[in-house]
Amino acid sequence: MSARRTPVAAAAAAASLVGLYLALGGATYQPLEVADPCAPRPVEELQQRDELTERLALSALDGAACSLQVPREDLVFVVADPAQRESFIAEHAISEEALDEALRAGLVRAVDDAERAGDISSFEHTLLLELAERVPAAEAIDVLEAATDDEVLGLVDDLLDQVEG
Amino acid sequence: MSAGRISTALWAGTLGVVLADSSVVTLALPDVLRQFDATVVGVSWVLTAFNLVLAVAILPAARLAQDRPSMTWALGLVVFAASSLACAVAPSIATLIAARCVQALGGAAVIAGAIELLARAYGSHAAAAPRWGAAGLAGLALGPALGGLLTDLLSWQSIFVVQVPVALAAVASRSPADVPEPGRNARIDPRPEIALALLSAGLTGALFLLVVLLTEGWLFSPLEAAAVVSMIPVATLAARTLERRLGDDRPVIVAGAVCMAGGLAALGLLPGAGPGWTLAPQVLIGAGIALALPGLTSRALAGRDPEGRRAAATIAARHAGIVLGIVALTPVLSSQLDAQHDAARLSGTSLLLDAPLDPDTKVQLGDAIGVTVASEGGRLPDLSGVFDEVEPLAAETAAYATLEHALVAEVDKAATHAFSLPFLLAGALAALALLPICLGRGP
Repeated sequence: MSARRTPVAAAAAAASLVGLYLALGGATYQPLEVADPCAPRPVEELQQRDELTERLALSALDGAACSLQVPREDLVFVVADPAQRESFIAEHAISEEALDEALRAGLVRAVDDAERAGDISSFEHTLLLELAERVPAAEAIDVLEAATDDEVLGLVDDLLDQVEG
Repeated sequence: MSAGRISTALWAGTLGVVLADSSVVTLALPDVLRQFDATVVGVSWVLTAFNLVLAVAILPAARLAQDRPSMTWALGLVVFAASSLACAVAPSIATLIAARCVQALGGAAVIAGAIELLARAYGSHAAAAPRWGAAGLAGLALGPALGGLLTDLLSWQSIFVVQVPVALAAVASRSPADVPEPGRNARIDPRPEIALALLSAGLTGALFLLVVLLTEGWLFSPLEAAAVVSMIPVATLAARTLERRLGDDRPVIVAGAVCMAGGLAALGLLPGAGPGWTLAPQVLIGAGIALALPGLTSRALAGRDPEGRRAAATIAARHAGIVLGIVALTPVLSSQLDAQHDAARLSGTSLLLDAPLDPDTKVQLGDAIGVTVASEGGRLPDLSGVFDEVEPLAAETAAYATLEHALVAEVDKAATHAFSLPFLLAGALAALALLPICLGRGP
């Protein structure tokens, strides 16, 4: 190879490598984008009643995240860890009340959706709406997230008792 | 070996050691960062301070060396040795950076003295340039690997400790009688120096970013990372034979810059996490160094250089380029690491929430991951051990393993993607070197 042709050879080698890496997905090798909380998620039929409470909690988070225009995943930390609540409020420049209201509205919407889908009875619907109205929303969602369906009605009762107590 | 050859080997060797110091601590930076609980930007000043002071001090040192080369060289070695010891025992990051500044002052005197002594031994600066050029290239390229080896086998402090006896032993060597070179300085053409500075900035990107990606992103040990980045000097040595055959005309220098820019761009577009993906880009970068730097150095030193100022200016240009690379790329890397940390947190949470696992398993796993993430203090976490802490239900073992694989992959993606933009910017710096190379006439 002559010295004059080395730039062409170098450019060909560089372009080939860059092209190969692009073809193998180099431009898109990055963490998954989280789903838009306002877009409907694919709903699968409940396999077991155990999945109900978790689905309610996640649906409530989606509703709240959609109204606050933040990722659902950000709100999980706010609900699960009160220490993150303040930093979330400061970062997104919202008030405590706006956050609570968004969580409460998300929970009410999730409970209504679950009744419409036939996942819960009207009695459960009433009880859960009571929960949404009277228990701090973040606490209610956190409990739902971790609870199995067998526990949920008992937990709702306990929470309502605590509030009344 | 004759006494004269021993002396010239010592001068070139000490110059190589000082130039290696501009990159030798690269693989030790993660350990330094952890020991002093510093930030990425803060710890980058361990490199930046040395190169900045060296770039600024080399020209005054060259003037001093013109009158008293042997004394300048020996005095520089003593300062270099003492400050190396201070680096090794530094109790804080600020002390370490201050000691690195003094080390660079001593280093500038060593380089200036060694260049002048070599020029007098070989009869002219032009004749001496290939010797110190090769020593400098070897030091710069091998520095990270040697530093990684010492850090892994002993500690980051050992990098500085081993330099003390080396520097002091070298002081004992003799110097030849001064043979001044007649004539005046040729008119200085700044284009080769500008191109050298830009390519050095790109090379710094290659070494500094790759080392941090390997150790902090993919969690390799310094020794493993040293083995991976040694591909660059290996490729450089292999391509030197090609460069000797082709010569150092402008097309060869252009080819070298294109190879470096292409290799850095490829590092910015890695399609997976793992050292195997970095090998081909490293080969391109190593070949680019071999093709571009010798030709640019000889152009920078073209013409008479009786006072050794062009040699000093060439060294200054290289180190200014290193500073440019670190100062320009580190803040970008730091902000990208933060952004990708958040992206990995969100995507990992999303995967955990949507995983077909028992809610109790998810909560336990979420807590365990939270503890690990908090313990990493803002760095991307190592999730490999977290999944052993939680016992999934028998029916969900497969889903649990799938989630583990997916979460580890998300962290790998975030770690790799954080370096994409800095690598692409480093490639752009190397590509910019084509402008001063291509402008103007001549072969």
